[in-house]
Amino acid sequence: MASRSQGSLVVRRILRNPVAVVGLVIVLSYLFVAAFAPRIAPFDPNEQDLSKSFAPMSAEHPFGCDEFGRDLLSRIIFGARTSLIIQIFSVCIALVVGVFLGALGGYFGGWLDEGIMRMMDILLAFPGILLALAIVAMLGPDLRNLIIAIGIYSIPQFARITRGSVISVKQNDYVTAARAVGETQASIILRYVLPNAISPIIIQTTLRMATVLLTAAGLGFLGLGVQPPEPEWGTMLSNARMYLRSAPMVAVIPGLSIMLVVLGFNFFGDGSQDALNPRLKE
Amino acid sequence: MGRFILRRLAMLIPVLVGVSLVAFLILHLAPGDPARLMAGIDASQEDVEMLRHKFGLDRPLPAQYAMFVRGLFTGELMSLRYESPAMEVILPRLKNTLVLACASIVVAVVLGVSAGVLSATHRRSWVDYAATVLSLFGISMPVFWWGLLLMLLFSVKLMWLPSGGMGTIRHIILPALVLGTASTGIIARMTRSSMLDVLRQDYITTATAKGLTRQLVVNRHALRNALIPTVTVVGLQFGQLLAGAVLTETVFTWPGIGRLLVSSILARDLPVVQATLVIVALFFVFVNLAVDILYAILDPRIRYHG
Amino acid sequence: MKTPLLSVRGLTAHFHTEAGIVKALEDISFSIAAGEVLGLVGETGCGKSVTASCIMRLIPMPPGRIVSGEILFDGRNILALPDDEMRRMRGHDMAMIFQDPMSSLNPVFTTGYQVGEAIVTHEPQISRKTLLGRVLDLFRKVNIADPETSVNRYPHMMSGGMKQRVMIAMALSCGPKLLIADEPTTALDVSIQAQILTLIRRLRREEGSSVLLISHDLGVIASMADRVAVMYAGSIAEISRVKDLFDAPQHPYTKGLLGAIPRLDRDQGRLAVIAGTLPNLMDLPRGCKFRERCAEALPVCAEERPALTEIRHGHEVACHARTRR
Repeated sequence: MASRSQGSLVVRRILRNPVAVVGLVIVLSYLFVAAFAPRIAPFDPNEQDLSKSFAPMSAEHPFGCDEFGRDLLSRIIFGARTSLIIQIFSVCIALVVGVFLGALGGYFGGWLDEGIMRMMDILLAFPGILLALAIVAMLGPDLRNLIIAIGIYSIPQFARITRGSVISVKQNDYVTAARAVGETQASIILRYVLPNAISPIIIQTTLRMATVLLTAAGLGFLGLGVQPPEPEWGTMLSNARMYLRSAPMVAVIPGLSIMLVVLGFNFFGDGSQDALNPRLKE
Repeated sequence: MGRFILRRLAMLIPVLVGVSLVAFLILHLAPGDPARLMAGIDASQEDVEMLRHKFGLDRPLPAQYAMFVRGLFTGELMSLRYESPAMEVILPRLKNTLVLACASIVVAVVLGVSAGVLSATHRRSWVDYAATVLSLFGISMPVFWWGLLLMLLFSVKLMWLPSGGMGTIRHIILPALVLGTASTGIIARMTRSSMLDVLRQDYITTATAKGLTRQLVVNRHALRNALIPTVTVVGLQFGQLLAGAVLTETVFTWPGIGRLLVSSILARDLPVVQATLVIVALFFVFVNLAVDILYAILDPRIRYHG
Repeated sequence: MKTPLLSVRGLTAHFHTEAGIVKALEDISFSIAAGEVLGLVGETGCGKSVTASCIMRLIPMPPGRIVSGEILFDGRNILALPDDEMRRMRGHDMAMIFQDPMSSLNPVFTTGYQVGEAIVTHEPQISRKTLLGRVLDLFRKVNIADPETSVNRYPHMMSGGMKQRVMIAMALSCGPKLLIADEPTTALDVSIQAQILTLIRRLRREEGSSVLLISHDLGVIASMADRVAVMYAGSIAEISRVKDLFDAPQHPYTKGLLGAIPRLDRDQGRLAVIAGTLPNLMDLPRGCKFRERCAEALPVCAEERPALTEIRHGHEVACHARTRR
C-alpha cells in the first residue's frame, strides 16, 4: 500500500516535468510505430522502383524515395522496428548478466566482488563504441552479432550500478532482520535487496536504451552493423552519404529519426531521475 | 602522494594484463580459422599456412599470447597491409587523434562547465531549461549525422570550412566541434548537479556571510568544490572522445587512429586492430590515473588520507 | 533612551514550498542595544535561525520571502538596502558564527586563507604581510594552538572545537558591531562547549560587540545573556532581562521550558514535560499558537492572537492570561 502510493507520487512527479513528458510521448510513439510497422507503412520497405530513384517529397512519398526508389517513410518505419529489436535484446543481455554479476559482487563482497569488478574494469578500459566495434568486427556484421556485441559492452554499467545500490541497501535493518530469521541468501537477494535497488537500475535501463541505439546506428554507419537491404537507420544514413550533395534529405531523415528517439529516451530518463531522486526535491 | 600514485599504478597491472588478453582473444572470437580470416577468402592454402606460422597460430594459446605481447613492444607484430610494425603504423595516427581529442575536450570543458554553472546558479529559470534541453540534445546527437549536417551547412552551402582532411586550423574546427558535442552535454549536466549540491552546503553560506560578492562565492568557493566530481567525468569523456573519433574521423576523413581501426577491420589487418585496441585502452587507463591524481590535488581530504 | 544598535520591527517571513506556504516568522519585534547580549531561545524549528538569517539577509529568495517588517541597523533599514551595500555590511558590521563548524568551512581552502579572505574582502588594499599578521593575531586571540602551522591547515585536519575557533576568528576579523552566534556550541562535545562559551564571553568583553546568541539551551542563555527573548512557532512569546525570566517567567510556554530543565538544587520529582506538539507552520490556528498545549487558556485565546505587551518595565509577554486580568 505504502509503496503503491509512493509509486503514484513518482509518476505524478514525472508527469509534472515537461521534459520527461515530451520524452515519454516520443518513446511511446516510437514503440507504437515499431510494433505496428507493417500496418502503418504505406509501402514494402524493400520494394525497389528505379524509376522513382530519389523521387522528391510528395503526397504519395512524404519523405521521398532513396537511390533504389524505395519509399523512405516505409523504410524509416521498419527501421524503428529494427532499432527496437536491437535495443530490447541487447539491453536484456546486459541487464541479466550485469545485474547478476553486480548483485553477486555487491552482496557477498570480498574476493568475488574484487574479481568481478576487475573484470568490469577491463571491459570498461575499452571506451565507448570500441569494444562493440571489435566484437562485431570479429563475429561478422549481422543483426544477431550486433546484439551480442552491444549487449556485452553494456554489461559493466549495469554491474556497477547494481553493485552500488546493493551495497547501500544491504546495510538496511530489514535485510539484517531477514538474515536473522534465517532466510536463504538467494531469497534475501531476490526478495529484499534487488527490489529496493531497482530504481537506479530502471533509470540506467532507460538511458542505456539511448546509448545502445546510438551505438548500433554508429556501427551501421561504419558498415559494421545491420547489412542492407535490411532497413536500419545508421546503415541507411551510411548509404545515403554518397548522394549527400544531390539528395541530402535521404541522409538527413534517418539521422533525424535516430536523434529524436535517442532524445526521447534521454529526456524521459533524465526527467525520471529527478523524480526518483528525493534529494533533489525541495 | 608518492605512495598514493604507486598504489594506483599497482592496481593497474591486472587491468593492463586483462586488456591485452581481451585484445588477443578477440582474434579467436571469429568463427573458423583465424589464419584463413587474415589471409582472406581468395588466398591459397600455402599463404594461409605461412600466415599461420608467422603469427604462431599453430602454437598453444599461452605461447601465442606471450608472442603477441612481445610483438607489441618489439615491433614483431607486423601490419599485414603496410608491411611494417603495427606500432609504427599506429603511432603517427594516434598523434592526429590526440590533437583532435584535445581540441574537443577543450571545447567541451569550456562550454560544458560554463553552461553547467549558469544552469545551477539560475536554477529553474529559462537559462537552466535552455541549458538542460541543449545538453540533452548534445548527448542525443548521433555524431556521424551531426557531422554531416554541419558539413552540409559550412562546407557545401556556405563553403566556409573544408569538409575533410587535416592541415590548417580550419580543418579541425568542424571535427572538434562535432566530437565534443556529446561530452559538452554530459559535462554540463554533471557540473550542474554537483554545483547545485555544493551551493546547498553550509560553507557557501559562510562565504556569503563574510561579505563576498556572489561572483566570488560561485567562482571561488562553489566552483572549486563542484569541479572535483566534474574532473572525473572529464577523464571518462576523454576516453569517449578517443572512441567517438572512430565515427568523427570517418565523416571528416581525419587521418587518425579511428579511421585506421575501421579500415584495418575492413581490410582484415588484424594485428593492427589488436594493437590499436591495446593502445587506446592503455591511453584511457592512464588518463584515468592522471585524473585520480588531479582529483587528489583538488581535494585536500583525499591527499592526506590516501 | 538612545537608539538601539539593532531593532527588528514586525518582521514576517514566509517560505514557499511544494507542500504549501510555511509561515516561519510572524510579527517578530525586538531590539539589541550596543554592547548587549540578547539570547534567543526556543525549540528546534521555532524560527530562531530564520530570524538570524533575515538579519544577515542570507535567506534564499525564493523560496523565502520577507512579507513585511523592517530591520533597523544603526538606524538604517537594511531590508531596503541595495544588495551590494548589504554585502559590504556582512562580515564587516555584522558577522555570524554557525551551528556546525564541521560543514561551515570550505574543505578545499586552508583555514588561514578563509579567515584572511574575510579581511581582504573589506580591506582590499591590505598588504600580504599585514594580512598574515592580522590572521595570526586572530588565531592567537581565539586560542588556536600553534597559529603559524594552523593557518596552513585544511579544515579536515582540525577538531570540531578548533574549527569553531576558526569560525569565531573569521567572524571577529573586521571587528563587527553585531555578532550573531547561531547555536555555536550545539554540535560540539560537552567539554569543548564550555571552552567556546568562555571564549565568546571573553571576546565580547574585549571587543564590546553586541551579540545575538541563539540557543535551545536555557543554561547557555542564563550564563551568557543580558536579556532573553523566547520564541514559539515563529512568534516571540516573552522578552525580559535574564534574571526576571528565570525568577518570574510569565508566559505559560516559558514556564514549561523552565520546568523542563533538570535542576540539582531542588527536588522536583519528575521533570515537567510540555504536553502536545508544535503547531504546523503551514496551517496555523487562528488564536494563540500555544493554546492547545496551554493549561491556562482562556476563551479569547481561541479567537485572537495575543500581542507582545509590556507588563512591567522591560518585561514583555504575549499572553491573554497575563494581559487581560
